[in-house]
Amino acid sequence: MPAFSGYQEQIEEIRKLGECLIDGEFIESPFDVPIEEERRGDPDQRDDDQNFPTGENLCISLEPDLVNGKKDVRSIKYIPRLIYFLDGSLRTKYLGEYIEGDRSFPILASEVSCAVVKKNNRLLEPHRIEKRLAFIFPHKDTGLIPDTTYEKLEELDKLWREKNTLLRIEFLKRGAQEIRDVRYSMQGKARDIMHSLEHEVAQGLVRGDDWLVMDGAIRKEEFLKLENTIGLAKSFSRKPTFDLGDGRPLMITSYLSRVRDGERSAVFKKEHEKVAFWYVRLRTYPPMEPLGGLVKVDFRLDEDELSDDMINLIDEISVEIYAFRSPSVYPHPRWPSFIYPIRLTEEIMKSSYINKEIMGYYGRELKRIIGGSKNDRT
Amino acid sequence: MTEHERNQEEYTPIGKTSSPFREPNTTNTFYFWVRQGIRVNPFDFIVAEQTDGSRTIGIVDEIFAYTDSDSHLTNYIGSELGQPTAEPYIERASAMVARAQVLRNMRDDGIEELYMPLPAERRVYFADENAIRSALGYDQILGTPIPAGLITQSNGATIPVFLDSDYIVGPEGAHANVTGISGLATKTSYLMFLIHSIYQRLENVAVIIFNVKHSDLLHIDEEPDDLTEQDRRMYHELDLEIRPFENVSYFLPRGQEGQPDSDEPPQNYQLYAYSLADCYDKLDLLFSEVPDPYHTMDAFIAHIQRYWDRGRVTFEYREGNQRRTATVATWNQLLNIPDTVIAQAVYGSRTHPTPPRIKRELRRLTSHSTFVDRRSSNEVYLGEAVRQNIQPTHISVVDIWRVHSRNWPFIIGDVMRNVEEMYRERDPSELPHLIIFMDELNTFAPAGEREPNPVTEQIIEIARKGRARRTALFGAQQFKSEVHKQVWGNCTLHIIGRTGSAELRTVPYGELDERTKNSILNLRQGEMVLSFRVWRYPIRVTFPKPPYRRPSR
Repeated sequence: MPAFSGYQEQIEEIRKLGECLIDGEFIESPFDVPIEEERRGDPDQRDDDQNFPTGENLCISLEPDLVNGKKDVRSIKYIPRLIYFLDGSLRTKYLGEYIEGDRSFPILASEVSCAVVKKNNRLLEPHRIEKRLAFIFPHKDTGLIPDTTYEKLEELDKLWREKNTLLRIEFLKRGAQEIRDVRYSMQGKARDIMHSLEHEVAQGLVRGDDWLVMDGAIRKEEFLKLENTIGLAKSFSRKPTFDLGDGRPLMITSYLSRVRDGERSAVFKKEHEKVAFWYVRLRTYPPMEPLGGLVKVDFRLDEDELSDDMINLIDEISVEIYAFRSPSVYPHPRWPSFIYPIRLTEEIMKSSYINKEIMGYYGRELKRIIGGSKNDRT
Repeated sequence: MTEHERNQEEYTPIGKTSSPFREPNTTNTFYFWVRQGIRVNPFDFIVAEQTDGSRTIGIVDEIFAYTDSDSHLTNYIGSELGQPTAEPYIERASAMVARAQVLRNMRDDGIEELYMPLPAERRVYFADENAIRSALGYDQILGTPIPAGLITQSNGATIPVFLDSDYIVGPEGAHANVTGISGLATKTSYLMFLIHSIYQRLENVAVIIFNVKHSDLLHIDEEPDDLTEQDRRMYHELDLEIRPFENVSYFLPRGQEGQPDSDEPPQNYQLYAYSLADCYDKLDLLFSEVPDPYHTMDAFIAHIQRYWDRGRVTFEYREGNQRRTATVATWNQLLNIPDTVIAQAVYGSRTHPTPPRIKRELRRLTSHSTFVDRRSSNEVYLGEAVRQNIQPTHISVVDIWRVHSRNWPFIIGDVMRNVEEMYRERDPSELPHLIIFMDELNTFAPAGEREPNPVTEQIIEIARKGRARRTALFGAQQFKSEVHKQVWGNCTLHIIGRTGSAELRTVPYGELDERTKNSILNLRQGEMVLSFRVWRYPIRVTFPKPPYRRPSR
């Protein structure tokens, strides 16, 4: 467990952050309680979209003989193997704008969490939760931040890591803000931090033969190294087209609308990739949009063909995922394709969020340290 | 659960306080979630750690089963869209959250009690005996602690409950009232158990008991034959001896041929009977139930009282121009005196309509064999006999079961009036504490708008003044709402057995909150809820059967 989990101790560290920025001026967020940064689109879908760049979205079925390109898995017997469920969470607040001479950048505080729940027979129990509170700054090469300030921040981050606090200072990659708005880039960075934390937690799980279900896609290279792991995405790209073996590509909506409650799609793989994926329909009722009630399963597959054992495993995983549709998480907006253990990890992370009033206080404290010192000098 | 396990359990937290935004803890109430596998029930005493090292004692009044399910529809959908046989693959996160009413802040540093709300995340335990003693204010008892039952905690611990005698039999407060469904609520058993406790703890106490059911209370000086091991264990825990009452005098109504008119009479008894000479000044009690809108009956009663002299009453009347007198010494003589004589003597007119009515009522009211023209030497006048028996440790049991219920108010009213006279004549401090046990109290002191009859007035008088005179009325009835407000309103101890919901919605139960009322609906036989004026919240107790022979029926 990281040190300094209490607010009083955290505020001391926030003051140290203010000391690093003492050469500039801080314009506090106009709101008493910092506003959460707007999320643009569905991040899971956006992640998956990156797997299907334009012109490279045809997915080949590894089961060309599957009738109608789908399989009813409801009656298949299975050994319960999906035991661990991992999800990450991200909440980024805009604290204010930092100005130093003719340079300026926003200061965002990102709360990054990762939680794991474990299934013990029919009960779920919290297994692990990790948190970070990251302050994200531009890279020094961008010219947005003076070298001395950058160095002070680097030193502070080093100190925080040594003390094993949950506080972190992170810098954008060189050139990241050149292609996008800096605030948008900072949000992307926060998402990277979350994925790193997810990976760190997943890697640290001692789980023997038990399988891990991660929320979202597992295309990132580091996730592919995890054994007995699937990614389970309730939102996914609409870009792929599917070749079921007859050479006639099918659009995702027209194909998946065929897949009914309790059925899985064929298993697909893009050429030269290590990830196979398929879809499982959790629900078709009540009436919903064609891709509602579906989950996408990502699964590392080193071979280009499926053995019978592998097909059996995929069937068993599919039917176990189908079993997880109950209990439901209605009325969550995405309830038809949301499984309960992942929802529970979200709830666990939500319960550990820093109070919004406290976050506002952090911003005001930064203002007091940074702005107060400047006034003294003048 | 063994004692060792219980001890272990007492020092193991059973949960932690919780004070979310929407349901914050207050000075009076706090919430705590309950560790999985722990059984908690309403009326359990619990203790939570306060911020300053003191401990706050509470009593559980409600338990909520929370899940993260948003609505019933969520659950319906989660069960395969309404399939009752569907089993979810995993169980929802759920928690039992109990709400407790604050009873007291317990501390040993002499600083004033802390009633700031309990913050969240404070550990909660089952209360031990010390905590319960503190919560119920045993350190502030002014008189003698009277065992009143056992608290049974959900962890298996049983803890004796004590009442302050000064609040039961005076001088700080007095009177007890028990209510509940007939048969299920064990009202008589509880009051007799309590009287027995008082009898063992206070030496200077006398008791008057009216037996209104078969021979239920006609063997209270005989060894019990129905006590179970559990009853004996409870007596042991309460530190009470299992022995029947002593110094009991039974007063049985005279029946035909001078035999007792009682079910299964005890071995030793005295018969009671009423001659006109015993009752001439208490005829208002005899006629108490007879409507008298024009006070004509009153005039007759007043005449007898006024003209009673040396064992007879005189009626003056005129016959032609002659002034004559008629004297009456017995019930029979009174019933046979001509109507015109009464009409002239009392109402000044030969043709008054009341005398026939008086005689009709009198015939009806004195038809039982206990009304005699002359008492035999082995028959006593009840009022006087009971009065003489009001001595420390003496118990008078008056059987009225087989006497017609229309005579009950008279018999009880007569005893009460004699007690009242005794207090008027003597210094109350010379007299022992007196407990009067009266079942079916609603019959004698009914609720209602109409003016109280003489018997009701007698009971109200004791309810109002008893505290100072150290006289306590222990009443029982099925429906407290049918009892006069002055009678139940003056009680410091209210005992409620299982009672119907319609009754619980009435005014006399206004001090109980909804949760307590709901719990009362589910009380089992042998369980009572006690609401005592010095406590902040009612508690639930169990009690043993009273230790005397209870004839089986």
